[in-house]
Parts: sequence; C-alpha cells; structure tokens
Amino acid sequence: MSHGTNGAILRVDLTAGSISTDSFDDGFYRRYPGGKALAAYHLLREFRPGGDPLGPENLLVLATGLLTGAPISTATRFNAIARSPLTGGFGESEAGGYWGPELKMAGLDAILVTGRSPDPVYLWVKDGTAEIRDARHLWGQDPPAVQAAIREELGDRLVRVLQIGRAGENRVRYAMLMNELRHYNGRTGMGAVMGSKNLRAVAVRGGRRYVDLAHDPATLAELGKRLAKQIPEHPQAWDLRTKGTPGLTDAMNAGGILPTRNFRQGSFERVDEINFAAYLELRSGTRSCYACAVRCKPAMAFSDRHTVTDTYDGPEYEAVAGFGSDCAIGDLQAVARANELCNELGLDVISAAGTIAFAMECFEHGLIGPGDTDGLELRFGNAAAALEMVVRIADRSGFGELLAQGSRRAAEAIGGDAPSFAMHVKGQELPMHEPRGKVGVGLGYATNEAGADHLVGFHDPLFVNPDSVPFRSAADLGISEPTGVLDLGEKKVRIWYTSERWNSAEKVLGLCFFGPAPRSLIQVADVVTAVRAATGWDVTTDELLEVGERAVNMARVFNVREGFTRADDRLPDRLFTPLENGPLAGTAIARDDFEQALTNLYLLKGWDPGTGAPTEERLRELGLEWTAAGAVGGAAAGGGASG
Amino acid sequence: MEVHLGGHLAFYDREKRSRFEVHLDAETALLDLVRELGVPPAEIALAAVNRTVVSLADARVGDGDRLDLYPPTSGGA
Repeated sequence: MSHGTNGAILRVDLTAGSISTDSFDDGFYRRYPGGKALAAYHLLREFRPGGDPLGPENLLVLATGLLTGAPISTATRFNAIARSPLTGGFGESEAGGYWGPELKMAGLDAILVTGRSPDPVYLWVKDGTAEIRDARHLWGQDPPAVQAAIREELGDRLVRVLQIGRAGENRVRYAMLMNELRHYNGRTGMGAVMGSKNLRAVAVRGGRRYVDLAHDPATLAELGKRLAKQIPEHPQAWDLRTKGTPGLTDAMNAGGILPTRNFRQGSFERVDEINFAAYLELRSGTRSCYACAVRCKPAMAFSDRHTVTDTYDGPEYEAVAGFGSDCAIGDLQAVARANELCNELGLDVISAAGTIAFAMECFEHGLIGPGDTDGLELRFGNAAAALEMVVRIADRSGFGELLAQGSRRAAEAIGGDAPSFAMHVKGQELPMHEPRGKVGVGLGYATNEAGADHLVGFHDPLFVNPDSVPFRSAADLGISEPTGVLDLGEKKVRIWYTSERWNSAEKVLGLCFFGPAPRSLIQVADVVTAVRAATGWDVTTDELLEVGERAVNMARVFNVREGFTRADDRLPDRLFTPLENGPLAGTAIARDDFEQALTNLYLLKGWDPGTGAPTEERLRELGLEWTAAGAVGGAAAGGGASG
Repeated sequence: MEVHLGGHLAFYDREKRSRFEVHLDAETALLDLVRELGVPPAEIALAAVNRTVVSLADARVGDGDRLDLYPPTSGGA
C-alpha cells in the first residue's frame, strides 16, 4: 500500500480515442515521486527521439507533485511536460492554482496524453474515470466562455478547468496553459503541444481528500495548521501578500538589474511609471492558490486609458518588467493590458514580451521596417504597437506569424545582426532577471534543460550576507559559505548545484518556489516532515536532494538524445558585454570565468565537461542506468512499475 | 527625510509603512538610522541615498535626503 499518491496514472490516446489507467507501486514512487520526476520518467520511456513536438507522437504529461493538494501552504503545483516546440528539448512548466490539487482529489497522479484527435475535444476526469468529449463548439472561444460552458455541460460549477487559448489552438510556439483563468503553465510552449492534439481543455473534479492518502494524516494536518499560522507573521510572506512580485521592480531598478530595452540597460528612466507605487494605484486586491496562506496573486481592474477586467491574474513582476522596462513602455496601464491580452489569448507573457523587445531592437536598427511589420512603428516605447503585436502573434497574422516562432527563429529569418538581439537560451526568451547582476542566475539560464528560466535555483543576492534570514535558513541544505552576486568561483558553483537540486525537488513535490527555504516561509525540516507524514518513507534532506537531482538528470538525458551538447548551455553574447547604464554600467560577465564555472558545475554534477552529458557512472548512482543509449520507447525500465 | 523600505523591510516598521518621512536634526550615520528604524541591517542588500547606491556601513544621511533600502531580491512569478 502506498501513501501520499494515488498510485494511478491516466493514459489518453486521442488518435485512438482510448483511455486506460496504469498503476505503480511504492518503490516506483520513491524514485519518481511526482511532478517533474514522474513526467520525465514517462517522457523518456515513451517519446522516441526526433519526434515532432507538434505531432501526434509528442507525449504531454500533466503531473501532480507528491504533496500537491496536501493541506500545506504552497503545495499547489503541477507540471506540464513534453518535448518543447520552442526549444526542441525538454519542455516543462509548472503552475499553481487549483487544478493540480483537484486532479489528486480525483484519484490520479498524472495524465499522459498522446495522439491527435481528428476534431477538437476536451477531457473530463472525475474520480478516476475519464471521458473524451466534443469541443468543436468551444474551439475559438475565449477562455471564460469555455470554462463556463464546460461547467454548464457537466452541471457542476466547481469543476476545475485547465485550458489553452487562441495561441494554443494556433500552435504559437510559446503558447501556455491556464487553470481557473488565473494560473499559468507559461513556459516552453506546452499550450502549443496541447493545441496540436486538438485538446482544448481538461476538466477535473474529485471527491477525495489528501489527508486520506497520507500515512500520518494527523502530523500532516498539524503541520499545515502550524504553517498557516506562522506564514502571515513571516516578513517575506508579508511582503508577498502585501506587495507580491510587482514589489520587486523598484529594487531591481535601484540595483541596476531591471532589464531595459532588450537587456541593453539595467535601469529604466521611467521606472516611477511602472513601479510598485504606480502598481498600487491599479491593484484591486490579492488572491490565493489552493490552501495557501501566502496569498500573493494580484488582482487588477480599471478602465481609463486602457481597460483591464479582473478576469485573469494581474501582472506579475515578469510582465511589468517584460512589457514595461524591457520594451521601454513607461505606462503601467498599457503593460497591464498587454498582460491581460497574453492571458486571454494564452501566450507566455515572458516569451511574448521578450520576442517583441527583440523585434523592437531590430526595428530601431533598421533590420525590419514598417513594410515588414504591417505598418506598425515597432519601436521601443510604442505601447500601441506592442499591444497590436500581441494579438497578431496569437493569431499568427501578418508579422505575428514570424514572431509566433520565438525570437531565435525570427532572428534567423531576419538575418544580419538580428541573432545578436535575440535574448534566449536554447530558444527560450530570458526572464526579467539580469545575469550581469546575479551571475548564478545566468549559470542557471545557460544550463537549464528547458532553456532560460529564473526558477531553477536560488538567486545570488540571497547568499551574500551570512546573517540574513535566507542564508541562515539554507544552512539545512549544507550551504555555509557566503559569496558575492558577481562571484563565479567554486563557492558559487557549489551553491548553485545545491540550489538546483532543491528547486528540482520542489518541482517533484509540487511546492511553490515561494515557500521552502531559503525563502524560509517553510523550513527544510518542515518539508522533510511533510514527505514523511504523507508517505511513511524515512526520507532525509539528502534523499530529497537526490530526488531533485534524478529529475534534472532525466531532463538532461532527454536533451542529449535530441542532440543537445555543452554548446547549447550558452548565454546570449550581450551578457558578456557591458551594461549601458545604471549602478552596474560597464559590468559584464567574464567569458572565461563563465566557461570555468560551467566546467566546475558539470564536474560537481558528474557530467562530462566536454559534452555536458551525464556520465554512465552518475546515471548508475542515481538509478538511471535504464536511460542510457538504447533504452528508449518502451525498453525495460527500473523502478518497479506494476501495471 | 523621505524613507522608502522596499520589499519585506517594511514589515519591521511598527506601522508596516513602506514610505514615510523622518526628521533628522543633524547628519547621522546611515547604520544608526537603520537601527533606529528597527530594520535588521543583515536584511538590507542595497541602500541608495538620493538614488545613488551607497555603503550601508559608511554612508551618512541628512534631513533633505531620500533614502531607499532594499532586501535581497529573488525570482518573480
């Protein structure tokens, strides 16, 4: 008898119209407990290398974390994983909200979707059973209408709906998934994969309670109550609840690390028009994810120069900086409208803003002109042009067809100097965190299997002062030596190695980046207690770090199979040239230092420093020898699958 | 002088204010002012006086200045 999981995975083949359920035993789950690990296991076993990301052969895995749905703040996340149409590598994106917990309550740990339906459909999952239903009448509809129609059809207003928007239907390479309209699996184009399967939505309803799955429900419930009481009294939780991520804008600008004009600059001269004081004038409230006391999600509604309705999530920091400073738009109303459009249309706001900032720089340099952009003066600061481009990208109309491919492909098509303006790693646009001011984040951008991502490790400023709350709370992870934000030496590499494994473990457990140490709303020991209470396993911090590392290595093996090498673990050239303005003007990453740090990181990970591939020895140590060459597509797998 | 406590630093103000005025009779060491405000120095990653980054340990401030204090920043959503 396993605890903490349902022991069941739903398998859906949309070409055949078939549905089945696989079961797995406790030994399997201890190696691949959920989320990223559980999904990567299936992707590696079942996706044949070289398959089209937008073809029926791609496998879309929607996987809850081990703790997803537990009555513990931040245990809300689930992963969407497939081969990415944006990067061609391991695609992954997590979201909070309510859908993941509901899937767990419905008796399933994950859904595997393959094939392609001849006509638009949606999937209806209830208490372990599933049905493929006609969605022809929903195709092309706006997300609120789709959600309302599904609830109406199913006669249950509490059905949780995960869906794509128009961008996903149109297979824009950075289309996203949304649940409950307000929570997004934004990155790596998982919405395009779902759209390519003619799958508009997955509706879920479950009647279970997580505590009924737990080995020790009393301890789990007690931990949840203690955290719910502690969190509102924690300074950083107070910050997230009171200000949320938009509170970052001022600090980023003051430190010279607010990406501005497509990462040319680090400070924005119109920051006061997009900063938190400006944000407060538009914000209408805050919201929460499932059972989370942090309550960090912003709500926004206004009607003035632009109109924004409180239908989707308000702009987070990534949208504020992406459409604000990085596109040089000093108008928070326009930024909020761009954010709302991305959400309504189902576009990843980071890649959408990054691709438009790239196009603006191309326009400024004369590489493209009004004749290319359907007459739009696509210059930095032109909010109207940016808003129009968002719609054209989602519809793949006019110049939007090119930008819908992402900045890397668009740059190759435009030619000339354009590739040097495309701020991406492995084809995925950079989030709004400047590696020239936090170089460890740059190391993470470069090495992450899914491309540039800011949530794969701890950011450098947390480890400068040994007396700070974040630093002290990371001691339980073995982090004991402070380093500067610009240091790329061995201490920084060791911190990064630890933080990547821990963050990966969060993605396996279903915990939000905003919860566990070093954010320290939830201590490392609390996470261990939660896993023990949920499963009955005698896990330690080291085992959780290894679980995280196993998931990273599976993602790496996936990329190696698709032809990725060390040469793909690179940063845009611009980051090795000086920032143009702000407190860090003149600062650049030293290329030799970066390459040495990369080598040191590979060696710590047990990867070949020449190729960037895991060594056979390391794979064996992690119990991943089955992923070695040839063990693909249904070959014998380790871990005790029982069904 | 105008004081801005960025991020969670405002949590340490008795009234949890992010922006407020304080009166200084004379120029004072920034670190002394920070302690008087009740903000733990270890939580401050960046200090700026009149929008210029300064050393928390060495800077001095006067009544007409604008002070911005920020904690370490991490990822956004």
